[in-house]
Amino acid sequence: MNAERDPQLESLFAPPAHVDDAGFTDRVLARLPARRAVNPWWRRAILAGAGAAAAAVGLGAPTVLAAVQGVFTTAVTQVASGGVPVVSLVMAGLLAWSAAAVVLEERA
Amino acid sequence: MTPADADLVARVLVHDDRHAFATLVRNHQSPVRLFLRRLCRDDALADDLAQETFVRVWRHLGSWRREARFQTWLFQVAYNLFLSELRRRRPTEALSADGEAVDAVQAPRGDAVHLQHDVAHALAVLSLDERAAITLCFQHGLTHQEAAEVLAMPLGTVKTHVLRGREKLRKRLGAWEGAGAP
Repeated sequence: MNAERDPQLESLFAPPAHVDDAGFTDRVLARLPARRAVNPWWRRAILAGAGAAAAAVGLGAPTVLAAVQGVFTTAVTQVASGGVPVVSLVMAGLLAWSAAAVVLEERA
Repeated sequence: MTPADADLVARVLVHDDRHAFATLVRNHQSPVRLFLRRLCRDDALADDLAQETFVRVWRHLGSWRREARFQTWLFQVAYNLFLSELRRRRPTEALSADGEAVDAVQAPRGDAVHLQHDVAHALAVLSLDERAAITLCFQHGLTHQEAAEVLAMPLGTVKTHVLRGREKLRKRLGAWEGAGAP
């Protein structure tokens, strides 16, 4: 990389000029949107739920895994046969995911 | 990444600390505005884009990948906004996109103001990509790799732009090179 440098030419650009703030920072701060105040209890509830689910999986791994496998097998079968319950399950999952995203997002 | 930047970003994210964000803006406003001014060659528009850059950074601060320097990320956001503005204005209005024909620099006139003037004119002959790459690498000291991240270009492409831009600048600023920066 250094061999590709041209110190003499680069010296014409350096030291870089400095632009005075002159109220720029204040103008930026005035334009900042308010962040949504996220209720810390929501975060805790979601984290607790995730932790409980993880603990359940950890404690009863064989049973839980078998149950999950059963649900998955059923779901695949129902999808193959065009069953509505799986669609509902997917929709519910998407809704839950969206709700969590809305709760945790920062206001854009 | 400087620890100070990382610390300030953490304070903004965790405590919604606007004073910390103000410090970030104060620390970085000059290079961001300079970069945009080089691209736009319209100070008012450049400052508007710089403001929008920091507002966007505020909104998406959580998406900053900490393996990249904070300033590199700022340049990236600023450059993307500049490109959006360019697309929005074309083809009805020019926004200093590609190189323009300008008079060659004949000889150094001996002070920093004239040097800055001549550098600005010399940069005007470069294409947008060359100008952006040269400005990032020469003026702001980014590595070619960092410039490639900012401009979303392959490393080899950035090197080519720097090389071509450098040759054009040499032709324009050759007289200054012998004299050195004042």
